[in-house]
Amino acid sequence: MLLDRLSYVIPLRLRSLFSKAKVDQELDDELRYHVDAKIADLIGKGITPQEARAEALREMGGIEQRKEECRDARGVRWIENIAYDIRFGIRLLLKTPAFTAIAVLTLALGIGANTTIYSVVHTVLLRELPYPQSDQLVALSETRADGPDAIAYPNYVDWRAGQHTFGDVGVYRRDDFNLTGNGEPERFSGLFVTASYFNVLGLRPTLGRTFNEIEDTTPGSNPLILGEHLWRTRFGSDPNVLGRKLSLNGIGYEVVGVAPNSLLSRRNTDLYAPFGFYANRPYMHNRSFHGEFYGVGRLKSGVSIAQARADLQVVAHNLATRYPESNAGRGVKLVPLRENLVGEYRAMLLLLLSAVALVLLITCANVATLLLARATARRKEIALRVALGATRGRIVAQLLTESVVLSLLGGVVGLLMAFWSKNAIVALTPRDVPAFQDIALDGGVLAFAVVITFIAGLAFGAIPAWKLSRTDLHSAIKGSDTPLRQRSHTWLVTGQIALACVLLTGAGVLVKSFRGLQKQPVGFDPAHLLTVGLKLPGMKYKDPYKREAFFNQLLQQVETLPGVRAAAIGSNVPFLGTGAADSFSVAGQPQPRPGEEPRAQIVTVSPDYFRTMGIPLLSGRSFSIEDALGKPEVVLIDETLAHRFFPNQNAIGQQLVDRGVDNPGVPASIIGVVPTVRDELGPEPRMSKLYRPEAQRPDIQFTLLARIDGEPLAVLPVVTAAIRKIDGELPVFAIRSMEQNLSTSLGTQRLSAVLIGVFSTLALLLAAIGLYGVLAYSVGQRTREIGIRIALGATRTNVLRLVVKQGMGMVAMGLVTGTTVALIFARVLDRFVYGFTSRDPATILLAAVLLATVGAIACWLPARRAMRIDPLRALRQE
Amino acid sequence: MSKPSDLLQGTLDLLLLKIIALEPLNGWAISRRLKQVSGDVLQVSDGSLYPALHKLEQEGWITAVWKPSDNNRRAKFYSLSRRGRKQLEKESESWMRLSGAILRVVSLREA
Repeated sequence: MLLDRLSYVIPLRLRSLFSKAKVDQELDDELRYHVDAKIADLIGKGITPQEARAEALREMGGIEQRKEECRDARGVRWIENIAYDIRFGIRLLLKTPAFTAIAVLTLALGIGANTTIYSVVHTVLLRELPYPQSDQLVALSETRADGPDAIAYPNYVDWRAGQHTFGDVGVYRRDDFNLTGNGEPERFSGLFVTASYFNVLGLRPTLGRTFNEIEDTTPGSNPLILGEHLWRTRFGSDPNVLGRKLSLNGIGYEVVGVAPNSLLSRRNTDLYAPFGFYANRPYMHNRSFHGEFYGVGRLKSGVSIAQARADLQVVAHNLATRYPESNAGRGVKLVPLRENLVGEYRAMLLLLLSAVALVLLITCANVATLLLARATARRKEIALRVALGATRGRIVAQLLTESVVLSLLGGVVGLLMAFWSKNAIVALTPRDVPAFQDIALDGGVLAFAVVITFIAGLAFGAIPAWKLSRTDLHSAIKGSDTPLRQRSHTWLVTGQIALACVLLTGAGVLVKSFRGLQKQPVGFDPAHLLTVGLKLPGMKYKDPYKREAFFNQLLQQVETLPGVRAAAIGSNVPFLGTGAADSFSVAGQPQPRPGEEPRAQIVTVSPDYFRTMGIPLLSGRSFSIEDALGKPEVVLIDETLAHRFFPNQNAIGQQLVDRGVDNPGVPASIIGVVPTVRDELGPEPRMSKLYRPEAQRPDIQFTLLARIDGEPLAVLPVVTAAIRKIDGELPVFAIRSMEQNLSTSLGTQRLSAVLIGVFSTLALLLAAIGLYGVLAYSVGQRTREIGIRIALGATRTNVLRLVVKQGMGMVAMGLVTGTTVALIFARVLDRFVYGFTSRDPATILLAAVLLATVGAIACWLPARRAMRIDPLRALRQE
Repeated sequence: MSKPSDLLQGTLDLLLLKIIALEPLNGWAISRRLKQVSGDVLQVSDGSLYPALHKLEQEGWITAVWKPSDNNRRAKFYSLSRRGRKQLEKESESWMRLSGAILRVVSLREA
């Protein structure tokens, strides 16, 4: 039935739209036919032709009006109206280029800023992970009493067997791979994975195959899968790459496949090796060994993460009962994969989005003020329309259409701005998170831009439209130019100032916090410190004496280089990626229950480490050549541990038993105490460390540290040469100065502080311009009044005070409102602020003073103009 | 003659549909026929007639063609569509019910 009607009505409407002239003509003919017929009829009844004509026309009423009504009855009117309004609006905007330019630019800034921030939010928080049905993916780890932990492989095997809620689970371990035998040695970042890993993520190989289950447990077969990114950049997308042999960490691998790009963890994955690599290691059967294995799982369809959690808890509980020594108090931690990757950025991104939304509000208020000022000039035009029969709704529709057109213009320019500023933003974001690098202006972002453009247009157009539609016909047509009541102007400007105040306060707090973090004492001296990452290939340096020899040679060489004041090596150096913590126990103190052992990070260092890092020795001694392999085990602890375990006695000489996997159960003597150092900047407390001499625990991966006279990176070439001389196959990576490392670690804080600083500056400018505009307009409107005052004896100062009072009144109100709002919502910022509370009086005061100063300048300019009014000319102005 | 403003919009639609149902006519002829068959009681003003006709056309209840009329001038002739016939039946029925009820109330004997 509906189809029936539509099949008739739609052609009708289309015809009305597209052959408008013809339809109009027909309407005209129809009505005229009627009038002529009536005239003929009346003449037939004996009335004179003139009278007949007069009467017939009178009865029909105005033909044009009847035609309007007929067109209304047809229902296509609104499209025609909008089209007309749009054309009219564009013409109007072109007629006042200055106004249009300012309004469009203002809107462009607001809309552009919002689009940019939203594109970041969209990419990082909202976009689907690049895996099929990614909301089924879960990140797995273990938990113990004091926090999360890596997975012990035997536990993983049992989880996989005993669970019911997952389609499959897999584990992985991140590691570095040295590629040798192919020109310059290079270092890649890769994952050891179980075959199930690819299944879980749904990664189908771009080329070749993925691993199979056998390769999980058999060492010696060495298939390799390249990450797509690496295949494209390093191997030139070579389709014949399968079968190529590569020597990684001294082991020969053969390429069997290429896997699509994956964002699993913070860095891109260059390649994948099978889990069989670990197959024969003893710790693979040790339930107490938690060596950075982490898991992913794919839930069965329809299963919620809560159900999976419950299911796995049962499995974990059973394991705890069966193996109380290793598994007591241990559970499973499930986190949706996306949350795991980007959850930590959510708060900051939402903060940025809120701040930029405030900017948009200010923008709208600003443009509304502009439109209101222009409204006075249009009153005659509107009044005329009303007289011609326009309804109020029609007027409002017209004015809103014009606003939306203006807004769309601003939106287009804003999009261009967002596009251009994209690279600048990406440069500010945390560099090691792939999600941030991918920011693009895709469909979702464009849709957002369109939506806020429309909303903004309606928002700032509403007030002037409403005000204009209430135009009093008489006074408007007569032309008495009493300006529109100024109250709206006042509220709009006050609102802008208040919002600017809120943003300024927020920016001030964030910047102060950021500065504070930059200066946060870290327990060592980060200046003039070079850090270089090195990793010894396991095969070549299997023998600990060989490693030992390498370190000695290296340090000897580097120490003698010009410019080097001290050199050392260390693993788990602060700000360079912290490893997991190991548990330990103190000899002679009550043993804690399983699951509650104290933990500390084990840092293996050379004797000169503390000197090189600038860490003073609080008591005892540092390591020496005496503390070598085969000699009694020694250890240094930091202050925190000393206070905790030896509060009333000398820690020196006491024994610690390191329960880490490498040398479990061997007691070590404490020979010294050093201050606790910081691994990252921020409010988190410092984590305790135990220091072991690397001579007794020569590690494979470590950082070379060198204290330099002058610029750390300047000595890089000689240091690299020295390393090459000793072992030409060793890739050198992560070369930075320690200060760079600290700076990089503040990536998100920097982003917040910079962006909100930019927004608040923008807001301040907009508010100031808004204030200036309103006052200038007001002075213009009151020229006559001021002229009279001056003529009646007011001094220039009186006039100045008049204008400034009006302006500063708005500033004061804005400040009070803004400060109050800032205080109320300050708590929101607390989580981003380090070192002080976000209700910081100094910052609030500073923001208020800044705003008042800028406001005063904005007031002064129009006031100056007012002072200069010539009363004679003013009075003549009518 | 009753004033045209006495006719409610809904009733006007019913009357127009019925007139058109009797025979396809142009607007002028419809207005004259209505006056005629109602014994001059019902008249529709020129100003209300055409908007009403166009609305009926918009709803799809009447269709229109341009034909030469009896004085050889071209005019727009409306005829009832299938949907229009259904609408006419519906509105007639509802009008009958309404007027029957009013008649009953008005015919009640006063005490």
